[in-house]
Amino acid sequence: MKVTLKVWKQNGKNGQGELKSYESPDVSPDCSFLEMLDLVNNDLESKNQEPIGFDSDCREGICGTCGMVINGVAHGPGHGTATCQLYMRQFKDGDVLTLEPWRATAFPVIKDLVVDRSAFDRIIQAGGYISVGTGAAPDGNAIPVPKENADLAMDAAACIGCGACVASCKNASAMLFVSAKVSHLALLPQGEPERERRVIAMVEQMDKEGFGACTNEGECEAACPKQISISNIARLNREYWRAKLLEQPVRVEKGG
Amino acid sequence: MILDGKVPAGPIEKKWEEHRFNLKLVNPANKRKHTVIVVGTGLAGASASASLAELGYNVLTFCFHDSPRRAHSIAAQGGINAAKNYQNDGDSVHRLFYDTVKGGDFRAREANVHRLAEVSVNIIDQCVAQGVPFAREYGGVLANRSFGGAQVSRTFYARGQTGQQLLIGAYQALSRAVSSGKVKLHTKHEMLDLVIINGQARGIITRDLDTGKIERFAADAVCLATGGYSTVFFLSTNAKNCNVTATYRAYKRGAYFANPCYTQIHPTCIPQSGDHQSKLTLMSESLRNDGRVWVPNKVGDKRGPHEIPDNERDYYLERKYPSFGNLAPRDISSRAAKELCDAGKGVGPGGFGVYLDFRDAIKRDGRSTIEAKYGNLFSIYHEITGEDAYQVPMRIYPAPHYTMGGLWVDYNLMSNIPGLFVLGEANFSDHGANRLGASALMQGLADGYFIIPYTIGGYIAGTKRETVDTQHAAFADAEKSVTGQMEKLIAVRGKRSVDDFHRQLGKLMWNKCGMGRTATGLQELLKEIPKIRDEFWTNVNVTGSAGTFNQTLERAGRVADYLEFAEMMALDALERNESCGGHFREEFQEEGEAKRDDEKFRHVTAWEYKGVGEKPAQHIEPLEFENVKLAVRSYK
Amino acid sequence: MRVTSILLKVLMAITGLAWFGFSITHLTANFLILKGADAFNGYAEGLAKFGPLLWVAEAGLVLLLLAHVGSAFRVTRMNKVARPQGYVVSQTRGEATLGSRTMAIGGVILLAFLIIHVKMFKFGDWSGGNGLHGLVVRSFKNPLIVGGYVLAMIAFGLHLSHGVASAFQTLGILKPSWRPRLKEIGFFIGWAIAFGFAALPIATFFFV
Repeated sequence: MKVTLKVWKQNGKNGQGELKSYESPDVSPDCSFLEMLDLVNNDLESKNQEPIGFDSDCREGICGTCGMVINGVAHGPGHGTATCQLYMRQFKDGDVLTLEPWRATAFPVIKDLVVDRSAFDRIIQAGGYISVGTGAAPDGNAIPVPKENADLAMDAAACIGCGACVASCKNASAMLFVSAKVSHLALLPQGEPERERRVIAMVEQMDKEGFGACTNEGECEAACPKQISISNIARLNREYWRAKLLEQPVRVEKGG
Repeated sequence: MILDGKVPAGPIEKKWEEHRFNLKLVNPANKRKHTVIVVGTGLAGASASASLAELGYNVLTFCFHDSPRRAHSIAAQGGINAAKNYQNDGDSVHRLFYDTVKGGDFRAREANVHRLAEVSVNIIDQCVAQGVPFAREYGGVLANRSFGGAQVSRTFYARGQTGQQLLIGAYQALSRAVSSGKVKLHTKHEMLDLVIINGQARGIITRDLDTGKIERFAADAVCLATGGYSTVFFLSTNAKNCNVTATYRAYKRGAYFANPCYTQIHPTCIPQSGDHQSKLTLMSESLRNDGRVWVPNKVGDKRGPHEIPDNERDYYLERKYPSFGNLAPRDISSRAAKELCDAGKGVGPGGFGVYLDFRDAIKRDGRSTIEAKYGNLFSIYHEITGEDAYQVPMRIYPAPHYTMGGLWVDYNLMSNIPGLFVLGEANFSDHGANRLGASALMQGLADGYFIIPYTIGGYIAGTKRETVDTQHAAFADAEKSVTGQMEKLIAVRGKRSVDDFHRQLGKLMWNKCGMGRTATGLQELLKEIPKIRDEFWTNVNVTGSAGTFNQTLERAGRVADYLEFAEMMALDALERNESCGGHFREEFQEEGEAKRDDEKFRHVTAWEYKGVGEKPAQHIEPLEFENVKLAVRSYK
Repeated sequence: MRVTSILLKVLMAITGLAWFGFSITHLTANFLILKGADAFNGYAEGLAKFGPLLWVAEAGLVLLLLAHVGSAFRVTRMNKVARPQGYVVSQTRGEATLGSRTMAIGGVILLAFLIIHVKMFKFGDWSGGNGLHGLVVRSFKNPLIVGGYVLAMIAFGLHLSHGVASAFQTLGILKPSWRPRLKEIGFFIGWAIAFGFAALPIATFFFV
């Protein structure tokens, strides 16, 4: 089967972008979508033309490197899958596919379909961790964690940081990403001591990076390759105003 | 030359403790005067960066991904071993030590493995404290499972995403160190050379993948945590960008490369569907807990799996290894599959596949139980193959997965180049000739969290180093060699794509230096690799220029290294006239099982670079087994 | 204190829910129109008797509205800055609704409507016979006014069909398992209220 590609070509974040057309070679329906792009690129390279810039790495949907908007949908037509998990059998022979990068002020374009997602790293650096130095840990079973909490924390921690939530949100909001990390750590007793500090710092960083606000549509959840629930966003909201209410007074520890 | 692993004296249980005491300490106030470079942000690199920063060192951390969280450790599925004995089933540090030495087919350094087993328990504690959401029982305690042929339940896991969760734990610790200012993080920076001054590792040369800018970084010590070289086979379960470049370029600067022929072929991967394929996908080994592996009895049986009655099926793992059955270790299961497919009994297109059948498990436990355990794996399988594994058996075939070989390191994880430390999969140290399931994560984190923070202090406190900066002539030289190579690559302007060469090399390596190796095949290989290399340098087409974003150039540099590295790998496989673990020389077997030659090959082989196309010099580190009795590794 | 996007959204949710509450009481009172001039005018005059208290309440409503509009304005601007360039091909995964996509423009329409509405009735000429009831009935005999009212109420229905459930999500005070139901309940209540408001001018136009 063959498809026609209309690919967003752009040099650097200040470059003028435009769509350029390419024809794919004849590929098997069992070929993955990115493998099809590999073949297009190999073809371009052997003709001494500039290949299409796109990112990918693990090609099994866990590293979060790949991602592009295919015909207006982040990560393409699959459900609960990243771009690398698409197969050509999900398209039809002769389809015209428009490929665009994640579009957000906070994700400037580096080249074609490759964007800079370091804003996500800076949000984690703002507080998305538990401050425990190497060697300072008690025995693993010293802190029991209810199975339900461990499971919910795992649901949230499954986030791969690909940025599809931002790409698919009409406001380019990063709330799903931030809420996944806040939920993961707020649901565990280990995360308790920094619970308020963390959520405030992460939300402030999120705003500083230039992401939009949440309209509660749920497009992010539908686009998320790990199907992270937007109930995490509800939790983030709650955690945030709760933290703001608790922030001012000096906290008095129980007992003593 | 005989290499000294610098294993401390004393009884094995006391070695690490006493060694830590004997290592010199760096005064806390002085640590901030020292800079350490860490290349790679997988489990080993991220944990090392965070731990060294916490101690007070200035850490410069590099990764070629756009975020440290994307390193390939993230794809590990199964779990991480630790000798916690939470299940009260008889596990202990000694048992984990013993299993690992035996699993490695007695080709690992005893003292290293023992230390790994000792610190395994600390790793779990550390990760739990970081908020890694390990699976829990209803009482709130940690859950365990038995994994990869172990007879005790010592594997901790977070669904099928243990590697992801452990890496995110380490990534968070690293992020905390970045925010404290102790780690300067350089993403999208690929290390292209190691800088050596006065015989000591003192810096690296990197290329900024977004802009093409070449940069120099100086430090008191350099840690490489850059993973393995499975992608020498082109098709492997590794990520597309995994490569040997960092360790290979260190090798070209004088670091010894040990046991490159030890590669692990994972038995449960989805078979290749065509030539377009860019990578192979692993199906977690845990599937073998309930799935039964079989092939038709008859050669070339074209019937569908349902049409083949039980008495015409060969459940070969159960037949050959009654006590381990479908859970036989990776190398053994892989080889058994290859043997039957080579004999024409393979299934699926091309005949390179065996069935992994859940029919009986579904009948026994019900579909919902199987779905709860493996639902996500079944859906991955469906996504890739378009087949429903609840209805028809899965087809699996072995694929390159992990490499036990790597840069040679001593007990301190330091290579033969003073100041060059190597961590995780990039070193050769702990798995011998075969790695057990759920041990890679353990080793990566052991090296990063609990070993390097001590041993690097010993080096920094115990050696004299002159003050250098990046203006030193050695930096200029290294930079020149890097830019020179890139210019050369771009100047070729040939007709074939980089991937095309990589594919060609990979296929050749898989056929002649993959699961089964013969002297004849390896000798042919040694003749063919230089030919491909020569063609590469005259007929490759690298578009664009070096001073910009250029993914073709990135790949070209890596493939150029593989075209040299492959030769050393083949040579190592040829020189090792025995079969052990993942290295199976067809000439050396007994009733189909690998036959070791302990008298001649109970050693590590480390290679020293002598020039492109030149035969590297061979060095030997003899292996002493004082605590584990050498035995035939039998799983029957 | 830094005013973050979440704080703005929480403010918008609380003020929105307050106005949602007010609209329910308003609608209940509206049905008095059907009961006749005496009942309706009696209610209006009764309210007026509260005097300063009523002013406080009205000022409160105005403040809530200003906070709602102000936060909405800031959030909308933030969202535009976050995505200055849209996709060439744009498509949703079916979670977005007409309501969710028209919150801002719908809000502007509603604001304009509110101003006209208050001017027309609260500050209108009650002296044309039958007091406020007479004014309302006379106004709703004008097809242009009825048309405008119905259109505004469609905007109101769209606004509420997304806004009610969205506010609860923003406050994060309900159990996650309630969310799918909440979305449906919000949708129906929203449209029911809008329909209720729209029914009055239509009924007056045709039947009174």
